Amino acid sequence: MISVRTLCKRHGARRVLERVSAEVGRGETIAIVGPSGGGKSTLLRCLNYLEPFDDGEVEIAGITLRAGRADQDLARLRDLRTRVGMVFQQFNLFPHLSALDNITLAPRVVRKRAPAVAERAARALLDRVGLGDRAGAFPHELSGGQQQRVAIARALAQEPEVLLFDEPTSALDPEMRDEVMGVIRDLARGGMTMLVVTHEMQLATEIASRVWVIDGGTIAEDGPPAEVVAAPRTAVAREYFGRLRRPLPVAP
Amino acid sequence: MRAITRRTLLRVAVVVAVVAGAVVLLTRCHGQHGRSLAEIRASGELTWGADIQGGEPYLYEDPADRTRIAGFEVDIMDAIARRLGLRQRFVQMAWSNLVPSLERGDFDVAMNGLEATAERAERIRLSRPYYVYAETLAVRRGSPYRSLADLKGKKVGTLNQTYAHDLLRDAGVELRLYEDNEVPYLDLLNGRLDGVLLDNIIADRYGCDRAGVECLPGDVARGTYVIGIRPSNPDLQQAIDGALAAMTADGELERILRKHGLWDHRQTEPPPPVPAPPEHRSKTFDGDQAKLFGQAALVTLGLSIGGFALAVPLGLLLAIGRVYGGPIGRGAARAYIELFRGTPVLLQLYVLYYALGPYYALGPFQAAVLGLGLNYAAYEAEVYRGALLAIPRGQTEAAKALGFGPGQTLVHVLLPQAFRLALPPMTNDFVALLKDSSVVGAITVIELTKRMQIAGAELRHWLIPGVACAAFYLALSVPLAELARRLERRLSRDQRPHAL
Repeated sequence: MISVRTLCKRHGARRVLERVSAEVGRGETIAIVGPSGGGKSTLLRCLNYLEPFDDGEVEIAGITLRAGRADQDLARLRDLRTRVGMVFQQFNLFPHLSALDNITLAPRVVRKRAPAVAERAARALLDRVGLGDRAGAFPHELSGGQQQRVAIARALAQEPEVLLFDEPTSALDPEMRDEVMGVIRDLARGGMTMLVVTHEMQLATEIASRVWVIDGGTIAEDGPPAEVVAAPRTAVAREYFGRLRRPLPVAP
Repeated sequence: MRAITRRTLLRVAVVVAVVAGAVVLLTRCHGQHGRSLAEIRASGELTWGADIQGGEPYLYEDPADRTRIAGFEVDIMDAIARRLGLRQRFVQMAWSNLVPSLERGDFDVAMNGLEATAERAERIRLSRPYYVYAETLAVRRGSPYRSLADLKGKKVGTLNQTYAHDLLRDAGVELRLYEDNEVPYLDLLNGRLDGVLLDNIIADRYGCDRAGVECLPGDVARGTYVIGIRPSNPDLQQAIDGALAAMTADGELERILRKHGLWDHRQTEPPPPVPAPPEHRSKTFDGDQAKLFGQAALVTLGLSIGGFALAVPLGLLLAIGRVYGGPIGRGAARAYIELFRGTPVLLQLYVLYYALGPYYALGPFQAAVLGLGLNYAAYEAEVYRGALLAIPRGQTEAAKALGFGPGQTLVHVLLPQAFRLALPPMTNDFVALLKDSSVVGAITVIELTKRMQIAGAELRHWLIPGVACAAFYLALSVPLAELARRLERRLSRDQRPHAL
């Protein structure tokens, strides 16, 4: 479903991604973890071309993106982005639209769905994320967890083959985190192909089929949770998981 | 409870005191000022009010020495002052305000092609005439109009507050008022006017020598130029009449008029009587005046709505060009904004109406709407740019990630949000435009402020026309602000103010 080959990305002199290569099969859920600034989000954003890259190639949902083309043409980008959905840390719902209109806007505008068809699909999606009764609510009337669930429904409305999550629970309280995690787990069970940048151990251990540890612009470790989380081989992975588990040092 | 009542009472008392003080001050000023002949003699200087915009031959900057003024009225004033043992000093005043300013005491006498009319005679003292003029009707060469009667319902221009203005008011023409001698003839040439009625001195110098202008033979009317003197100054009138009579007797007046090429057969014929007051002229702020103010308010509203209807889409285009355009789009939008924001709107109106007149003669109302719209587009562009930049980046990213193209992102995601942010400053701009539309009086559009000026000069007091004018402006702006406030509340449910 996804094939990343020697992907390179620089910000000036700084190398953000350094010859990253990876494969993801249909229906897999990848948890992407690692220290801040390691390149996790950048890799994710290269996959739907929100970030252009300097070298290498990405093949995703049947579309091949190559480096060097200053800008991919608009029709291809539109195609790519309807097949690859994205969910953001800050939800980024459209504040001037109700939950329902947030979900139907892209199908109507981008894919030219009839309003009635888009609305029917949107209501089904709202039911699926447990918000069937909040269709008319505006984003500011919803809790963070509810907003993120609407955002997931909005991404799903384009019927994507792949979903990218960029720290979907980092801006949420623990209880709201659980409601969003529940939705992601259900999607994983339903066979959606997903890449999730996250700091949630639960997601890495219980939901993901594979875990990538990214540091210094490369994938330091790549394997099933049982291997990567339980018995990390690299120092960076040991350090990272160690810190997540370690209690705060007690003041003397 | 007691304290509140007392405080409220105190406030009311302060307001009443301020208003009463202002009224007392205004009534005290009215007609009570100005110097007596004795005071003038003591100072050694006779001051006279005139408008240098009246130009050649009345008075103008001496081309040989720009610091001096020249003109036949300067020469006559020199002679009068000399005969009274005084020096003369010129005081600049807008022509249509000469009489009110004389009454207020800004100068001792008014002399600037001031025509003797029954109305002026009721209001101020008029000296004996120093010149006999004729009203000359000018039309486009080859036009079918041969008399004022032919021009019924047609557009005819003249200067504000002149005798010709009175004549035209009774002639049933569509009246256009100017403040400048030359422009009416330019507008006649480029088709904005069908006729111009002005004093023969002005017609001869500014109109009749133009190839496309025909000055019809025969005087539409004759009248005399006189010097205006305050009613409280009979001694001064006597002194000036004496000096003028002596100048006529010893031929100095004829020499001065000949020197300026103004001597003609009319000067030796018996002077015409002071004309009767015109029928269509109100002396108090009556129902007719209120109706005229109402019409002017509609013009102001039309100008503002028309101007804004142009400014909003153009401003939006400029803002989009400035934020998202390439180097050329950005540069062009910036140049436009700096040009129109950095120069006065009055200048832009002059260019649109007068400078471009010979190439494309826009009507005054069209030119005004266009000028205001082009000017305000620059301000709107900056408002929208600010609003677009204030939208979080995540909105654009979310739209992109859903497959929106740039245009779709703009239309469906960014502009609706920018509009909500821009609404308060837009309301501000619209109210500002409503008031700024007062400058278009300069291109002959009669809107509220111009109407107030005309009424003030005609009724010889400014308080009631001023208050009426303010009331009409408020009647337009306050409901508009309320409408905008409601719209804002509906659109911006999530943008309530945060508690501090």
